[in-house]
Amino acid sequence: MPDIQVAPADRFAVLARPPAGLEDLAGGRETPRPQTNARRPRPVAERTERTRAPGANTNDITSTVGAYLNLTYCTTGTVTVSNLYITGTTDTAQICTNTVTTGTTTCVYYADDLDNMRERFLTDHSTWVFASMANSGQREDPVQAWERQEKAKQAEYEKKLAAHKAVHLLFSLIDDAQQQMLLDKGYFELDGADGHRYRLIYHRHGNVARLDRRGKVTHCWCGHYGEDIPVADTLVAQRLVLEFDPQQYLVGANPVSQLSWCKPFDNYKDVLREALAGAPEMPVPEPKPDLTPPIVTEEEELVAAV
Amino acid sequence: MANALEPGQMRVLDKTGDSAIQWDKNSPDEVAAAREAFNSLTAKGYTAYEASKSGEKTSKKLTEFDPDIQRLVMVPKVKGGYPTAEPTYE
Repeated sequence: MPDIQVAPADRFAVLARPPAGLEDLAGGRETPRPQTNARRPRPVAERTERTRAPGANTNDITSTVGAYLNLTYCTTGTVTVSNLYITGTTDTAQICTNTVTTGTTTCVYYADDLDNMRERFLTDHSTWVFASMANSGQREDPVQAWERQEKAKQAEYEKKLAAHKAVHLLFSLIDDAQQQMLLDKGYFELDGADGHRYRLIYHRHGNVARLDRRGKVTHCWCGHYGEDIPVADTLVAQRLVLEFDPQQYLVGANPVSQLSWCKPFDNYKDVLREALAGAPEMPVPEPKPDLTPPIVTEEEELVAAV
Repeated sequence: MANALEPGQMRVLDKTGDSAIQWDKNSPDEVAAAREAFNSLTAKGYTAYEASKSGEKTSKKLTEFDPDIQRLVMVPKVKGGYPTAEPTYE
């Protein structure tokens, strides 16, 4: 279970002053407060310098993974309250959705390894922004948190299982040399029905490169076969289509002008080896949180009364 | 062609890796069900290929279901990925 302790409001330090007339939204504090967190590992100036954008104010927000964070912010004169759920070490959220504002404000949180201190980075689309200190940090319902965590575990398992099946199907359709090339280089090559040699690249982008006689990439295309289809399935489809009817693929896929994009995942070896190692293990569910109040015996009541 | 003892298999590429539909060519019901699935998928834009053994060239692109084929792979229609741009010629 993630730690869902909520940071108290007094741990917030506002480093930038809101515009005149809007101080109330900042919890009634009209002047910047001094830094209150004694465990802060680096000077404020250094941290804000790293993340500050032109024209944007920067606030430091203390929060923890698993907490909700209410943000009150203003873009092009409209005040909006947004409820963000902190899920990871770096959360990126577009906080202008469902508002009447036209600008796009992107909010990026940087988690501090030591004290969960988070910094907010604002693009210069924002006029100003600050945290709503009064409402910051609502505790997530433990049952909802459990359900969310279990769903995430199941989704991760299904994704790994799909990759495992797809890689095995792919390896049943390519020869030993192609298998070895895929494991070593993250791609394999084949001769298309049109007489050209193609390189099928293990990457989510679904890139296919055409090679010249010297093995140099001359063209690159990008094509997908549907959302969430494993990468190895994409290579299965490409292998079948290119060996029989390359024109069908080339008409549907988009040409890519940046030939340097035609490269595999950085971690293709790990991904392929994990998929080939065997089917992933089913996740073991954590026990559901028990919210029923404990039964108190008469003796315990007496002890408590004393 | 299919071994008389081995069932035919249609592998449909999807987000689970693939879904397999099997049939025994001696069972009219199974062949009919597989044919119906085949027709339904091709109507959705899938293309059927006979999946050759490892490393062999694809021998057939199928427009009609053939129960004698041992392994089919149903491939969805390709969609372009990046925004269209002219290829760079070197």
